[in-house]
Amino acid sequence: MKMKKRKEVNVVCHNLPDPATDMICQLIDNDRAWADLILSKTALILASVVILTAVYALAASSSDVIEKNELELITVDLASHIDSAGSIHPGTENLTVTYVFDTYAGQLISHERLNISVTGEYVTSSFEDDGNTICAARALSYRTVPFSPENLRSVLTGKFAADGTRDQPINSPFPYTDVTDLLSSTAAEELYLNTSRDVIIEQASVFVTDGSEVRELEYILVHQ
Amino acid sequence: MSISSFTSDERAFLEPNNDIISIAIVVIGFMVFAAILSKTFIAFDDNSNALESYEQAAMIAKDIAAYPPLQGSRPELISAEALDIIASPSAKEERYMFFQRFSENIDLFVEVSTDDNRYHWTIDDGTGSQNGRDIIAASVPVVIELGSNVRCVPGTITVKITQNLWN
Repeated sequence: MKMKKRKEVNVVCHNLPDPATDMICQLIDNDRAWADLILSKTALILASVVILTAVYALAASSSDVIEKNELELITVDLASHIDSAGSIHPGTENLTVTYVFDTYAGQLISHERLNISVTGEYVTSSFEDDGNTICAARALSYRTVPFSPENLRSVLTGKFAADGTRDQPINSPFPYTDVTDLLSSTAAEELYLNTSRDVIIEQASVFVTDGSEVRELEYILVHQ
Repeated sequence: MSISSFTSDERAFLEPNNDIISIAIVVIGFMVFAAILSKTFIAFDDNSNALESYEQAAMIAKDIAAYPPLQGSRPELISAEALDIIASPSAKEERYMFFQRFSENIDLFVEVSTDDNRYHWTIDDGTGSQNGRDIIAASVPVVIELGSNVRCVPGTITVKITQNLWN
């Protein structure tokens, strides 16, 4: 049946002198299946390109994930040092902890590219990677002020005319909102840390009095 | 349909489409692999978050167990009298001082109970509502001194941190 049909087509084609029709006829007549082969191999190549791109993207995103993990590790390490300084009950003398940024070999993130900042509520770190900013943040558990002790005392003296030490308690009625609000609003400013220098974490007490008794408000100071 | 009729079939009707079938198998395999990988990563991320929050709660629980105003006649004892005072509704100032050290971002409350459940104290600063939010809890065992250091009973301090809405 097929053979018969093909013969009829041939007959029709040979009767027409037009070269374009002749070419189409040759194409139809051709049963070597070149077009079939080319189409299927092109599809195969396209599919493999898509799969290879997907695998490559997955590998690239996994290196992003590793960098992000490392950044989180650096942030968590600093945040947990600040928290552990807060969880020590000092008794009479205040405690000072020195934190050194870990610079071991084989780190993906070099410390020069790293931006670490501390505010009263968060430790944030970020770095630029090919125009993208990757960042990580951790909330702190204790009340923290990114000041040096001298700075803290001068801020308190400037506002209350008393530096909040045991000898010079600040006059403030319960619940001492003027002191706590002042410190939390000034602590909202970021302190950018230099990763090649030590970070000093220490406890500080601000003494307040409502006239009858003296209370101690505990803070953690972070400075360099 | 026996297996021999399948193996001895030589009409080769699948032969021209071999590559489509193999590509389909590779694509399906790759999708399954990617799905398993992403699921594992999500589970790992969740677990590490939960562990981190638990560590924070455990640290605060240890801190509260060593909080000087709660101590009894010896540093390792927790005084029931001090707990009575700090848990009573009128002791606003003591409770304020108790929670003052912790960051304003943390919503926490503390439950202290003896192991025989006869005594129970809740220290709450009354700011947070726990409705429909995740709570992370950590406990530490303590010895509670009831009245005098002759009557000491085992108990636990449980710190419950209410997760922030954005977590």
